[in-house]
Amino acid sequence: MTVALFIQLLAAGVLLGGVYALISIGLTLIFGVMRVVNFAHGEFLMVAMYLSYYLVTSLHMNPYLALIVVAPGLYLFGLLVEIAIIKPTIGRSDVVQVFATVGLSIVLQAGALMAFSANVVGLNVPIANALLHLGWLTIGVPQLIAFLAAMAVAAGLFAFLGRTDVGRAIRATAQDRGAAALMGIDVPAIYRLTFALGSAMTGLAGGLLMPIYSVSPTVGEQFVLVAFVVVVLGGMGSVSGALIGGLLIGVVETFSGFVIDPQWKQAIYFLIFLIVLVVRPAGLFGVRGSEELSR
Amino acid sequence: MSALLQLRNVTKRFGGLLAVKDVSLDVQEGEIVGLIGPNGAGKTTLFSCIAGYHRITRGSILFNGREIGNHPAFVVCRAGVARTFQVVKPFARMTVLQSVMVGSFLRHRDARSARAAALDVLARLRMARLADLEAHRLTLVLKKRLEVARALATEPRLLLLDEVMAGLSPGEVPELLEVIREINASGVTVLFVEHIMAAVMNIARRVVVLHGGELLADGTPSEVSRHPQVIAAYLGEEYAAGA
Amino acid sequence: MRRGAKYALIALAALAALFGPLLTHNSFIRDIWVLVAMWGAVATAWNLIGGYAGGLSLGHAAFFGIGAYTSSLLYLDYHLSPWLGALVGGVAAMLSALVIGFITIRLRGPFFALATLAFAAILGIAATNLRSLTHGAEGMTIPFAPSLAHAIFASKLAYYYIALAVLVVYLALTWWISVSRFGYYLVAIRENEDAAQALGIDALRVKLAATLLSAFMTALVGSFYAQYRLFFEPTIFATSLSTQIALFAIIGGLGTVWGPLIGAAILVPLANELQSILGSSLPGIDAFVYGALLVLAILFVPNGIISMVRPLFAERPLLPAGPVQAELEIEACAIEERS
Repeated sequence: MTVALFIQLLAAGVLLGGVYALISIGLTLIFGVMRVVNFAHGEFLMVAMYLSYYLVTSLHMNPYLALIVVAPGLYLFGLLVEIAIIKPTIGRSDVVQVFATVGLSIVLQAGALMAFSANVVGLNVPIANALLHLGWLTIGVPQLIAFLAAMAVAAGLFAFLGRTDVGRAIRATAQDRGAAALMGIDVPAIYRLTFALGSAMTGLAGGLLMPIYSVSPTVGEQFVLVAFVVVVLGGMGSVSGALIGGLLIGVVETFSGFVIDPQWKQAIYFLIFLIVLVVRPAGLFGVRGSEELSR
Repeated sequence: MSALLQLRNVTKRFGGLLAVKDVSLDVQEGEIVGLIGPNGAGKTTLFSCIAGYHRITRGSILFNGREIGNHPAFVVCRAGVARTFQVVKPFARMTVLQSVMVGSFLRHRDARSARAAALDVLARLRMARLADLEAHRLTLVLKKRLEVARALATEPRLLLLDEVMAGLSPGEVPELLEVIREINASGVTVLFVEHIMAAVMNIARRVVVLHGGELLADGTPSEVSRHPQVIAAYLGEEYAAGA
Repeated sequence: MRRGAKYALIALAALAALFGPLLTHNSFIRDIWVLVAMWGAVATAWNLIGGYAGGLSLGHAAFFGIGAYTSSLLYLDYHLSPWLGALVGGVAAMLSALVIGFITIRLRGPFFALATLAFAAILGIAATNLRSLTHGAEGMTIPFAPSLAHAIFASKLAYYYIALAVLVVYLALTWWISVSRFGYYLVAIRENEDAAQALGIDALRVKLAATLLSAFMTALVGSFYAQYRLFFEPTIFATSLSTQIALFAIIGGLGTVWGPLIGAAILVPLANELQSILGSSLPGIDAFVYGALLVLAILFVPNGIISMVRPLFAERPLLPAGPVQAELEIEACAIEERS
């Protein structure tokens, strides 16, 4: 392997990792605060992608401008889902929480099938195929934009969580919701906000991914698995973990795709996933023991 | 005849914290021994070590002549040591009878005899009428008694009771004391942790005092209550002044 | 209603089960009978883990698929009778259960579910890629050569009665477990593993035993499926299959003997009807309904249909089933025993 090839792969891996991090941040935030594992996370992404697709193809919006509609759109969607489905599961047993979101994922997937048919569609806009050449290094423009956006979102989230009152309230609730409630924090409101925010970030991810990937009703399944691997690797509940986990997985996937048959790519991350669950279930930065206490 | 339970230099360290320091202690078969000490003295940790929930850093625990230190909890129970938990761990959705049956199944493989044995235990603990009530519906006091019933159903030779009186009003204490006396009379050795002094002094034939993880005193209730260090550390300066 | 009524109901169900498919010559309807018996059996096997042991498996398709692939490969390549091949498949599934058991030892709730999901997914990918072994995405096709030794039959009735026999055995096994030491231990572990250990229960061994049993049972039905449909692809490992199995048990009644069968008996014909009526205009309508029912059921009737019907059969309490809402009111003060 030449240095040039190595760097090319590394660059591609890092950019891909940024995308993966973006997909995963919402999932880990929601788990960290609410202790809810959203099995329908992939379908949220799919919904965002379809929304972006229709905005671009029907209204001829620029896919990046469409984010202005997609992100708030998913925020609202998340809010509705939290109120209707998630809130009733808080405090109840595992079976209820797991199967409520599993059921939701089935409904969304089937709903998409009924609404949009099984066709795989992608955006055929100029920017989707744009490439940037830096010397011998070639990178995809939409990938670069997604990566930069991921970094911006992560930075924004850190600032929000670290510096604002609301952000602090969210962190407090994540650490001890009983104590937070005693401190006057409206925990149900924080839950609504967190879930909606996580959905909005997933919405952003979907909008940024549309120029890169095609969408179909089952696209959620593919992405959600990566998201879970990233989140478990980085540590459930840790945003920085999602970032680093995403980058790691992106790089591992790109390099392994080069070394072994790409068909096995997915199996590799599942294997990583299982290994992490056995060896260090809390992940790199996660809350130790959270995988043993389900509530 | 050697003691039923022998602790030799038992030490338990959690990282930097030494929770149990070099504790050596014998419990003879048939005794009722009380284990007292201020909060944080290491009593529950010691129980957990004996019962197999914690690995001991150093020392050995012999039960009936055989080493049980560092053996898994279920092995310890099968050897004949049963325990209750300070923070109750009920089988929330099982009924009282079913919960106790889980215990009696250890010595009775088939459901019919397990059930009969469980009913017997419930009768002895005066809980027979609660048999079909789901465990999560019990008051805390009754949940604690259920813990005892469950543990007793495994037909132990040594019963470790962890603060089973906690939460009882003074009027309720004598009844539970009577139950414990009956359990002991039936041949079960009892080692119990308590904060309610009246209970300890009343029922224990021997009292062991733990302070800061170390064994401070070991003797009859009257000996221990006159022991100057115990008085100062635990029973209180005022009590000391008065004694 | 009392015990007499309950037995009467069971007798009626038995009669229906024995003679139902004989009342029609319609192949499609007979197919539904077979599927109900088959999925009822798988859901019953899943229930040992998902209901009694409390392990939310979303990867049971792994065992199902292993059963199907093992018996089919042994039949096609080595001419081993599927009757024996199914047993080998069962053993293979048990070996894989050891692996997944080891991985999930300390995992709870959603994490356990995720691990089982990943496990089944890996097998699906392996089945797709190991083309020389499994024919890859083309799937496995078993030539139609009916004979008892080949476990291939011309009439759906034969398949039905085999599936029914398996189902009855599984139901009996579940019932036996629910009144035995093993069952009590499973539920105790589910309710509070620490307390269970303190009562002499080797939780690891008990959970493993349940997992191995469930895997074996599921794999046998997988082999049956292969012999019935005479065709299957790597999609046999799909998550949707795993969730479907769980769905039947949940709708019917988690952790009860009859729940999984009831769930299958209601949902399989329902989905079939929907698919045939609306399938062409609304593809995915059956999945949509499944998903919606799952959400509604888990939020409002988490203990399934059985919980709605159980109060009618007042008898001695059975082992507690699924996620009952625990009321935290302390009302036992009035019921305390005073000696």
